[in-house]
Amino acid sequence: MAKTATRYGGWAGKVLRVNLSTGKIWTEDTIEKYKDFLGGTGIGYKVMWDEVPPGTGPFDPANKIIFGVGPLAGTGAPCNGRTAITTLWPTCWPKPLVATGHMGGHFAAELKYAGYDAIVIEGKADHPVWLSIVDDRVEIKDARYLWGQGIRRTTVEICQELGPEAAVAAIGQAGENLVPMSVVINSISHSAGGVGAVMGSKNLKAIGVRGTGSVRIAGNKEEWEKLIKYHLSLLGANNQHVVPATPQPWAEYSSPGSRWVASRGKAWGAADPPLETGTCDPHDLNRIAYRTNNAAFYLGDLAWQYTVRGNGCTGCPIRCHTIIRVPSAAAKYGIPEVLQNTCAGLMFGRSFFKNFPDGPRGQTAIEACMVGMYLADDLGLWCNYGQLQRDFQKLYYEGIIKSKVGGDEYKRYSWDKYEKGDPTFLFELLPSIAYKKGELGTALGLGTGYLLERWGIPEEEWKRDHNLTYWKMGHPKHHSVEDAGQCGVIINTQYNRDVQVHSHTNFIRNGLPLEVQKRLAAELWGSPDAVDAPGNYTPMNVYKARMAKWTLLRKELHDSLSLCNWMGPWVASPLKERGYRGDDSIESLLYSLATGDRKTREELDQVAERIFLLHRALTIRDMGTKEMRTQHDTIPEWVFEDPSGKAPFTPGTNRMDRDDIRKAMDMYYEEMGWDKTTGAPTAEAYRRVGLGRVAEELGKKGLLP
Amino acid sequence: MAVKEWEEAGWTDSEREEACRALAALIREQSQAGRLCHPEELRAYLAEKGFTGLGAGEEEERAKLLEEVRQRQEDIRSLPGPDGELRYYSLQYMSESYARLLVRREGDPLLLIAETVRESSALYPRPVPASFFTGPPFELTEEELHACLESMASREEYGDIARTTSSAGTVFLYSTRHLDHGYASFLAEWLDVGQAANP
Repeated sequence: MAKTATRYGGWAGKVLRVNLSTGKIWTEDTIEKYKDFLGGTGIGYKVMWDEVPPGTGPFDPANKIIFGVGPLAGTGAPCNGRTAITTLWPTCWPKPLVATGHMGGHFAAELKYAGYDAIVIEGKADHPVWLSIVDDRVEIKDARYLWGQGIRRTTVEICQELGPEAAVAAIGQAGENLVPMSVVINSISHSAGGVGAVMGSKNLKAIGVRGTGSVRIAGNKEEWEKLIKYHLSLLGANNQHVVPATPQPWAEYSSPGSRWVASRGKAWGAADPPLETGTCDPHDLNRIAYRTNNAAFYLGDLAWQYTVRGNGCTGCPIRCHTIIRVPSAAAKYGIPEVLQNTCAGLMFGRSFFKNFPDGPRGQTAIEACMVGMYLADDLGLWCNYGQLQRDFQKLYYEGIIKSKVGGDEYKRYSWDKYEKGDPTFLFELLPSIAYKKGELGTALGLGTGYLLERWGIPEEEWKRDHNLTYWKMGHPKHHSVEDAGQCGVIINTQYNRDVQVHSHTNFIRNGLPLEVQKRLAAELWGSPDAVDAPGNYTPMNVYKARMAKWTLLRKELHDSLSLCNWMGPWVASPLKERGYRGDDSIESLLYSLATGDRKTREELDQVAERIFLLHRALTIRDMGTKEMRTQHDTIPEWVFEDPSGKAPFTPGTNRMDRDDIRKAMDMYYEEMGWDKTTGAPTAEAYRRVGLGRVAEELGKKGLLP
Repeated sequence: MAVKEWEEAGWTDSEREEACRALAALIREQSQAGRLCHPEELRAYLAEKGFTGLGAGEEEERAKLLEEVRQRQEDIRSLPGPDGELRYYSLQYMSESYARLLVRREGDPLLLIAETVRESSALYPRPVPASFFTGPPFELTEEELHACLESMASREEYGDIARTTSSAGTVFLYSTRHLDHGYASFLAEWLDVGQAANP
């Protein structure tokens, strides 16, 4: 452990540096260089700012890829399994810019136990390699025997060498073939989208890591145990839904939209013996893992009979990845009968199809999910939050694929199977993308922006289509108008990929009655008017701008501490005796006790703001313009339209009003202390969070307002 | 209750306390299992445990005893059932809203559906999937639910209970007293399809 790290708990103390061109391996002191940026995305943005010059391409050896974890990774803090992967984003259109992918699993903890807070990879190996990390023994190993293999085989091979406890983050054939729509996956199903090809461009097949150390907690151990129990008591189900989906004896409220689907009569049917999830009183901390069944939530009630159990990340009792056993999928398609995933990964295969013979929640749809998971999680394909599938449906049903793909190639696909919802169609399509086969496979693998450019389709056409939910720069919206109205819109303008921000949606969808949400909102953001009922929005106000700022900063805070922003912040809870309050200070309590660096909620939020502003600065520097409001923070047309013609601010529409959104952006920039005209942070805004030198550098380039 | 009255009933103070604790424990046990405690269960329990000898005016004495349970044990609550008798539950294990659902379930199923739908439309506000009533704690059969909805459609007192169907084919119920059709349809689509499609 590095000397300076001994002052602090939490951090491992070292950042591992690897140059694949030269084979050089060295370490840096985390505390000396990166403490002010915590870890995760913070370290990632710092390295990109300091070391990757503007104009670098994502597949250039000069691009770097940073696997960053935070001081809470590998501790007992709940939901601490996130690894943030920062690099230049190959699907960011028209120009690749910095972005981050996020994976759960066990990689983060294992990296900490090996003694590292981050790995920074640069250069390019002259042949396929994998990086072996066993504590302080780090080696670049030949991966020619793995090249061409899927992620599962690669993982097994490396685990045979490092031991079954090793965490392996590997790319599949898609990443090897430099398909921008590719992922890296660890622990079977935990993927980070968009970065597979960046690893492939460096001839880096995988990173295998095994750590035998531990993470030191600086504070009093009894206090730490007490804090962990307290945090656990505030947890809901996945996405911090704090009420059950159906009435349960203990519950005052329920919501059919909740991911807390456990109930008497609902059992993991493929467990042996089947296990009834039961009523799951929130005070019973040993049953938190029964609350969520994302297979049932996403695929319908039929999935209960196929459920083996939940699975998930280190230190997380939520288990949002559901393991399902579908024997018919094995029998019909020759794939494993047991697979696992969550959310978009679970639905990867199903989402390509418009129709199934037995409906969207029938047996065939589940089998399509199985085939999709099997292929995508082995080939290492990314869905770009479902944009790949939405694009595919539009391109096919509007005849665009037929017109853009050559006759013979077009005929090679079994379109009749596709239209009927036959999952075997996926065996034709998905390998084509991963291997860049033909025009269709190649184009789909580029990501939306570059696909549209290649096929001469104006991006504006995509921005008008309500069903596509495309936002900008090659990526879709991610919890925008449908989650907190104007707040969701603001958030979706801020990043260079689909935004990986869940702070707001985790609150808005928590299932509590509007009146309770408003009471909590008043305490958090100053007024009950910060939140509205879904699809029943009121005009913009300053409290919504405060909520937007809080939402963004908590995202960066979580991604830098390794906490899961798919679960936190924990500002609501299932506990009636607390008035359903959570605790907005939980992150600072955990951070302070784990590291020994005592920080209040406000102080830690300022660190988060520093990290967020560094991302903004990187974007401005690499775009070469300060005109962010007009060039970057753009909003697609569909946001201002309603398919049924409803006016903004009427019940039953997510439609936004143009003038109101202009006001929303004004208020947001003001709340951030940025320049309203350009949407760029002022020199003072940078200096306030300790980024004076960043401001100076931008000033020299004329990139300050 | 005055000590004198208990003495007249033949119980000592400690016996009385023990009876209250035992009744509260039974109510809690039932609540934990998701059930209301009915008066006859309490009577049977008292008899089984040997708490007898309440003497003349036994019913009245029992009522007084249960009232004392509520006073001594803060978590014990009661609600009147459709027959006018009180049902008991423990707030430690059962919410008031769930207890209300259970009481409604004992009565007219049409009223059960209507009141539950109205409450949801007013409170959250949101519509309720019809399938809500085939799961716990309602557990109507599909046939019973269908018959109820058919019957409600022709009854004036349920004229505010309306239906909307999501694009996935799920039927939702709402009350026009609290939600208009357009908004109810929007929310049904959001709950049934939109949330899962926007993970």
